[in-house]
Amino acid sequence: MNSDQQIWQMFQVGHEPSFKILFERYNRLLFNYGFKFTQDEDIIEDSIQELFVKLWCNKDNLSSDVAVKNYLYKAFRRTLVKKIEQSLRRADMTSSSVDYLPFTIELPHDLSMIRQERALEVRDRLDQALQQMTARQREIIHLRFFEELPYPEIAEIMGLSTKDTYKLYYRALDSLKKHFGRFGLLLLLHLLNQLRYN
Amino acid sequence: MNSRLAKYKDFKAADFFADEDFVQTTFQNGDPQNDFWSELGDHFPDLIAEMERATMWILLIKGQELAPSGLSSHQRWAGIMAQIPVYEKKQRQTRVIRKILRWTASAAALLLFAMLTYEISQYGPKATNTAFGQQREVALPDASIIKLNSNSSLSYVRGWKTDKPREVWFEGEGMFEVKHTAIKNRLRENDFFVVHVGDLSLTVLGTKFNVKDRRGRIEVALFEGSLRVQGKDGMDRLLAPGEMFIYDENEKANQIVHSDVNRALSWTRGELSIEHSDLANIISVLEDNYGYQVIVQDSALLHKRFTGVIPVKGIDDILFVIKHTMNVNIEVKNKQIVIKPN
Repeated sequence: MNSDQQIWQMFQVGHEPSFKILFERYNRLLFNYGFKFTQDEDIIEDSIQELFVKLWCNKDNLSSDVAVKNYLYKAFRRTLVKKIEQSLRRADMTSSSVDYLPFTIELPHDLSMIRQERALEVRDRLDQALQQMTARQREIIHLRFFEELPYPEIAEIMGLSTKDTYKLYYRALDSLKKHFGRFGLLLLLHLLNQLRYN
Repeated sequence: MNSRLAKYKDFKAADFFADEDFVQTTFQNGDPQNDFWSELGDHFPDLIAEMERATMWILLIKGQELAPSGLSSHQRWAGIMAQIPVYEKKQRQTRVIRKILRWTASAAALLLFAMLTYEISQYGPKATNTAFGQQREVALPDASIIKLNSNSSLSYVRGWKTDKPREVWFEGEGMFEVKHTAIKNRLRENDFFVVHVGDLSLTVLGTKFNVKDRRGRIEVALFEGSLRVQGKDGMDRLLAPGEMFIYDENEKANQIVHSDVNRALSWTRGELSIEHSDLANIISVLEDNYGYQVIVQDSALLHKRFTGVIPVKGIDDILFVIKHTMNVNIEVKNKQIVIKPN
């Protein structure tokens, strides 16, 4: 299979099948990502459509050297957030900052991939820990472990600095530790160290 | 003991969860690095449970099901394909509108610049001249009108303020129709209009008068209102309608005579009024207004008198009348007219 990069370059010279491969690779994932912000499917579908239509129409003006997945998520998130804010404003909701947009992580109910008797318990406690986090912390965790994106790219997608992303992430870990107990002083020191070096 | 192993000695699940190496291994299950983590478990059996928990977290998050959508990929793709031409059309229109806007903006800027330039050019000194045989009407910024006869000049400075009289400098012959700007019971400095001609200053409010400044002799004929003449040595006289002020610049002498002031206006109607004047008078008109040099071979002719009005479309009309009423021979060469007895 060709890399995103190769397909991107083909797409940029107007190769429609490559454009379609890009679409096939990412459209379901983007919908999934969007669904974490809002359950309004129209808004998500509009955002996906706008993203790909603009991508095709402006392909000549795009950089040929991009991290494709990163680029798509970033552009999609920007479009989606804009549309959600618009609809909130229409509904006369005052707090329309990105920070207040929800982000849901729906842990799987089918736990057959985990060969562990305590899987159910772990899942419920992880679920609780995730609930305690802020939406943006959940978003970081999702992008890191579900989308397997590295932190600098997560920072870019979310419009944060890499440093702020790490900070948010380590604060999220606190929540995990609280829910799984045995939180030693040594670990705290270790954590502070890691904070300093990042 | 391996220092790398020692690093993990006190790790809890959350620490493994945050450890890039550990996370990478979980992502790429079956990597040879795996051996490292089983080795770590051998060394520190307590860590096995922590690692398993961290792995579970990762797997649980990784194992989320994709959100189900109402639309299929196929429908989504069809929607995008349908929308592309619509968007491209809109983009083209936007581009055209943007081009028009840009053009309009530059046109507006240019217009503004032209207007500013014009406005600025309207300030400062202004001068108007008429050539020989040419007449011109000049409208001043205050709506006063000055009709210039041939070979005359008018200058003024724009920027008439309310605390200064309106002023013009004048040479030659011209008919002034000064706009009356004063409001009843309120007279301001700029309600006065001053014409500087030779040594004289003519001050009026709103009147109509003719000024003729030729050959060291200034004639001011007043038709309406009143006019104040001020000159050197404290000379200060007031003119009433129907009166003509005559000033001799060499003699510094002045007098006011009653005269048919309409005669003074005949030039504005394209006529030459020569009642009670002699050939010398007509020659002065030829020289002053048309720029000819006139040579009269018999000086006795100069004092021959005329009466009447000659319509003047040009020099030929005048010469025709002279030739036939005086019975003389006239030769015109370039700018020279020679009058000889027949």
